[in-house]
Amino acid sequence: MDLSLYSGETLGLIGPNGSGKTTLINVVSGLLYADGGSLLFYGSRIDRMSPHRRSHLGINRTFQIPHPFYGLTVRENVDIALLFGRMKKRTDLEQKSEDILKLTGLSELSEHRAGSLNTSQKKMLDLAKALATEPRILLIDELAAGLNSNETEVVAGLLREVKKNVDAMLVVEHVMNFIKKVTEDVVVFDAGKVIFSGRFADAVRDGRVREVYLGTVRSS
Amino acid sequence: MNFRRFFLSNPKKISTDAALLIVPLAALFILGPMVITNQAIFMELAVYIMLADALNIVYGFTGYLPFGFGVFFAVGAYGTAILITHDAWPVGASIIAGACFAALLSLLFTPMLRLSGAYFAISSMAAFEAVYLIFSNTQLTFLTGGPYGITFTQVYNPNLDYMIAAILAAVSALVVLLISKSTFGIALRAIREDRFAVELSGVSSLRYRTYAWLISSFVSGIAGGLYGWYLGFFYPEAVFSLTDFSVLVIIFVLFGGRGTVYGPVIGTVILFLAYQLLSLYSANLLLIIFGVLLVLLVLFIPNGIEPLFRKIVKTIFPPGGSD
Repeated sequence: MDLSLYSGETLGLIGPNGSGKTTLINVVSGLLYADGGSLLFYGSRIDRMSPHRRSHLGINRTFQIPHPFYGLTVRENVDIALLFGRMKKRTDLEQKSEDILKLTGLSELSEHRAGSLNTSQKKMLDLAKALATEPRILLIDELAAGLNSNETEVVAGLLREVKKNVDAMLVVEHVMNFIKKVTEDVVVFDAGKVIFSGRFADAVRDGRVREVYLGTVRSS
Repeated sequence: MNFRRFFLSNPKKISTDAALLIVPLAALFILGPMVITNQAIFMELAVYIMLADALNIVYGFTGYLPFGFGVFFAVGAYGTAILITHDAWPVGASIIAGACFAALLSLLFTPMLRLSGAYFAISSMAAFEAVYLIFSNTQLTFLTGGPYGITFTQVYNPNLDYMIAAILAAVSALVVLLISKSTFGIALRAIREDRFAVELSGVSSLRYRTYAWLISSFVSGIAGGLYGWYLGFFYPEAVFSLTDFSVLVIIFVLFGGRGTVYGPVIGTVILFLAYQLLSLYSANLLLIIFGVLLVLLVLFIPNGIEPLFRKIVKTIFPPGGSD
């Protein structure tokens, strides 16, 4: 597979279950090492770099199943990412942490234990942690899954806001309505291969994409 | 560079906590031997508090349970004894050097930190046995005394040793307090919660676990040196005791509350004194009772009694005012 993400781009990544979307995010964020091939970040290879160093470089992500630090408070969760992430100066720590909590709608819950949040709040905390490391590339793994249409609207708006502060964003999603709201550019995966790359509107008309999603289309 | 992250992020309230730790400990170590006129009991108590705090740093904060953690204690004791016997080093320098040996050994064991859960616990036990077999080997009799033990009574000074041990027990509790309030401590707790996700927050899980491991082994080594000095003579089994200096300490920490500041101290004081009392009546039942206690603790109060203690303190001294 060959995939590039350009500065200023928001790329939607769609594909059926098991097509390798999350695996791709795992490989880029460093939780999995690729068996072969190469991974370049602004021109330099990062294939074997540990996840924390990638985080320092500016690669971060959210998880499909959120991974907050359950025993710590929401604020502590964000503070760790602020302290150990990319931010070098610690002078405006409190302000920063306040801003991120506000943006992700967690201000009211800042002193709650992360374990006590509901799923969509945990997803927001995942996003808040990722943002606190000041990423250049943000990988979003199914942020909208399980949200109602109202929440989906809010989260899509949030991502458009987040986009202003990062160089590029890769959004993995099952909910097509959500993708449409976030970006026009999509890549469709099937079994670890890119089968389509282009505008979302064209993707739904593409024969192979339809085949992957709906099964074989009989030629009449 | 990274050491700046050891500094306090929140120095508030630290003096209250420090006082709450030091005052009762000072009272215990000064008044204790007057009530129960057996200094050795309080000497051991001081040593156990240091061990509990050392274990808490690695097990409590990072969630990694080294079952063979007593190896650093034993190496500290041996390092001290060897330097005094063979090189006639002064006691203080010997104890510090012994603790440095323990820390060096822990560095040698750092590859184990790549393991987790039961694998880590078991590999640390294997490491313990390996080091024990080396120190007790007859081939090394010229250095370690082998199975015949090592004597260094020339520097024997139990009163001075007791005083230093009592002070250092309080210091080790303060070290835990400082860690828990530092950004380093928060990073360790995050590692305990999720050692993969913590990497994405920019924390090198392996590096911070190694720091915790080093500090823990150094404190254990100091405890070992002080204990060895108090004995003046010991067989390998006396310091390489998996039950006495690993399992018991784990029970103390679990009982008190792992990952807390007060828990290990409270747990050690209560259970160690209970242990001494029980041993007067039914020495045979001791390990059975403590074994059952360990199972019950893990099943029913995995967070230990520290939360209960906190509630009691809050009831007696309601928040507000000085708190």
